[in-house]
Amino acid sequence: MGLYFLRRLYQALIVLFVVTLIVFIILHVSGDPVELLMPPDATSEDLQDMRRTLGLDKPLVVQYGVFLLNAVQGNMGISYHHGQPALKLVLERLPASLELVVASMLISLILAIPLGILAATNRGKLLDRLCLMGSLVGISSPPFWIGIVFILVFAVLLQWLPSSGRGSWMHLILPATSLSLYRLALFLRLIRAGMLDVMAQDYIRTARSKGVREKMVVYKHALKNTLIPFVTIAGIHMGSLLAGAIVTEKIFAWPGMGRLFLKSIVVMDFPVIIAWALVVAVIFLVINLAVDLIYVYLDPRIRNEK
Amino acid sequence: MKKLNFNLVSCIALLFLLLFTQMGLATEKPLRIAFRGDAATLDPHGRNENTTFNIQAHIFDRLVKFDKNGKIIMDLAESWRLIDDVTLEFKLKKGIKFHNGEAFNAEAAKYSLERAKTWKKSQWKYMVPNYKEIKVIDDYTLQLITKVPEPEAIQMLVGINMVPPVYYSQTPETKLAKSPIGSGAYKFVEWVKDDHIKLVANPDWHEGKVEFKQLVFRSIPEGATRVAALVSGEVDVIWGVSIPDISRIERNKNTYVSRVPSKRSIYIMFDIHTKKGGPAPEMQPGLPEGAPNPFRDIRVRKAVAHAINIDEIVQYVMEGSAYPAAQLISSYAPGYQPNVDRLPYNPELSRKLLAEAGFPEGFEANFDCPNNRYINDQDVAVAIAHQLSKIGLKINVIAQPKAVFFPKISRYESPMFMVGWGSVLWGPTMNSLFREKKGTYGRSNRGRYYNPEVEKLLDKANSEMDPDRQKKLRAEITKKVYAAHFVLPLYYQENVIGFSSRVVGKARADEMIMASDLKKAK
Repeated sequence: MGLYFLRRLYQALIVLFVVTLIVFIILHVSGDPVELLMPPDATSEDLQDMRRTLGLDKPLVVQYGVFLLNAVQGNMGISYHHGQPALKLVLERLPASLELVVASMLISLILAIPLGILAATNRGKLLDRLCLMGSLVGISSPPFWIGIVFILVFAVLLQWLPSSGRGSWMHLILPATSLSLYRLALFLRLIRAGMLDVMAQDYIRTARSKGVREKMVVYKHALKNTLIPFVTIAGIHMGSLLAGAIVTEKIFAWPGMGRLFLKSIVVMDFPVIIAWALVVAVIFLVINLAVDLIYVYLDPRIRNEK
Repeated sequence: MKKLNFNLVSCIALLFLLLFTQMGLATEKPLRIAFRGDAATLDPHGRNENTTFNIQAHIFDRLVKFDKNGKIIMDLAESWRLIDDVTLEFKLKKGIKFHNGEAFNAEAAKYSLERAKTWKKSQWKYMVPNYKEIKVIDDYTLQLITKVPEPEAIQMLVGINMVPPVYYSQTPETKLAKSPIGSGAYKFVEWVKDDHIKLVANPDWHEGKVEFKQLVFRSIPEGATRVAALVSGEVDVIWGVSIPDISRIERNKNTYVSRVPSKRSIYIMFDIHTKKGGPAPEMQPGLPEGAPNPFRDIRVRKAVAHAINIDEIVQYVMEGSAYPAAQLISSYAPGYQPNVDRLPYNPELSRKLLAEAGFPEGFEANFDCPNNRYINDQDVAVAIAHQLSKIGLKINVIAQPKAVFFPKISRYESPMFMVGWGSVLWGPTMNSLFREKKGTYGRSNRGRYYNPEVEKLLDKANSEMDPDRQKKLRAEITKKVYAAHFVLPLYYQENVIGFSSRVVGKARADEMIMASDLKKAK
């Protein structure tokens, strides 16, 4: 197991290095950040000064070298716009992002798994059809629209919940719910389809013919096998949401990583974008590792290989 | 199913309970102002951008400032006078203390001006006149000795925040970016990035007491959410109400809007330098390969000007929320010149001018504009292209995000483009737009206008300290540069601020919201 982790760590470092290289190159060929950084009435001399101050006048190779040297010491540079360490700016927003994503994933999972199972076991019946129809609506409504409707109904008309910002748990309800709808719908369909697939397998028939109780068949045999591929997909969704639920964060003025990323892209704040990319890469690496570990737990075949 | 219902009911009950307890706890409500963005930094000499400066303006004072109507008034300075062409003397107000107890005096003013000018990450360098020396005469007298005469030195200084020298020279940069100390109407309390900034009234502020003791700046990027937050009473003032939302706020009985022409003007600039289509910078990639550059001919530029129906654009694209412009500087600003007019809408004349210029069949050209910078920027560009198609021009609108657009036009890759201008100063405007790109001049001259006569006149105006002669020079130069139709002013945007009826306030021409202007409703 120790060797396994070591190998994963080594792979992770390579991934991170490649990420910085790609992002660095893409950013630096995409244009001149100083043009956007300085006010429109600043003079060309001021611009030139700023380029020198930020080291943007040096050849690209030198810039990347300097960046790497600093990066291995944990310094991702100072944000052009905020004057603060870029990595810190990103990490400061991680708790807000985590809070939103965990809440919304919980909502989707807690509802999607039981509903998916119910839909599959009641295939073709009213409940199943309702689930399918509801999920169709969930998948096809754009998050922008859902967000605005939620705000209009719950914040403006009913005045039950705050429209935006982060603070008490009440602030979390609207963004987390509106963010969860799409995934709720998607997960429900995945679980349902997976269950139907598994329920048709020979080993389920064997279990039933042995007289195993239906509850055991559904939850122990069928669900566990359905969850194996599902865990991967849920993990990917979790990662991409953490990277930034950009639309939802913007609509609900949620101070998460996605908004920082969007803002930084618009103004070409290179250090922040690179720091963000690195953090996101780390998040994905961790989630992938977690998914693999859950696999081991769920699938005895993998466990026994080791 | 029964269980679910019970849970739902108890959830809602709990929700109400919490709502009521929260209402009960609230005592004196803070004034809550929502901007589109957050402050980029709270270092007063760092990022130079509207929201950042607006928020900082509550924490810091300046030597002089703009009042609600755009007039320059004294702030921490008590008076100023010109001793000779290059020596500006300030008498400073006495007995003013920064929030940390440091005294404001001539040393502090000197330090602040020098920091804004020489700190390497300052974005305010160009707003501090080039000085030879800043002399402290006594505790409350300061002399700014400039390298050359600077007729607009006073107007430039409205941007420079005053800071306590001991704190700012002994604190690391990255801490200064988030822990500001000034002498302004409010003291800094807390900053949760991208969410809110909390300030509390400074009882010793030199202009006296403010009505709202607590102040919260929220950052709500989405316009519709900002309006929802105002209508539902979560915030009291919102910046930048979009045109379709104006009626929504006015229909609501607890909210209202205040509108004023903004200092920001929108204009079109032409490439009048390159001779034909081809690779930049010597040729123009926005024209068909090898085709002559039609905009070199003043008749073509006039034809474009006559073909734009600005009233139609203001009425239908901007829905009345804009004001036709004949020059870039808005009429309330000190740099405004009353002697230029728009060319009237006259497509017949346009066709005639085009024929005279040798383009009776029209021509094809790209028209670049940003799509995330100004209000309805892309829609306006499309409408203009449509109007130009009526005189036979094939104009391809290329709308791009500002991160792509601005570097592109600065590389001279657009034959015709639409941009905005927000400066209220005459000299910097002229020197940036109408001079050859050299040294500090010509930064926004992206169409490469060059007129040796204008260069000479501007050199003269830049150091003319006699008010009468300065006035004459300004009138002459303004007339000359706009007569070239190299820059085609379109309209001034409108500043629309939404207020809750618990607040009495008015939109300011300088795009700012100042809590100290606002009063509680009776």
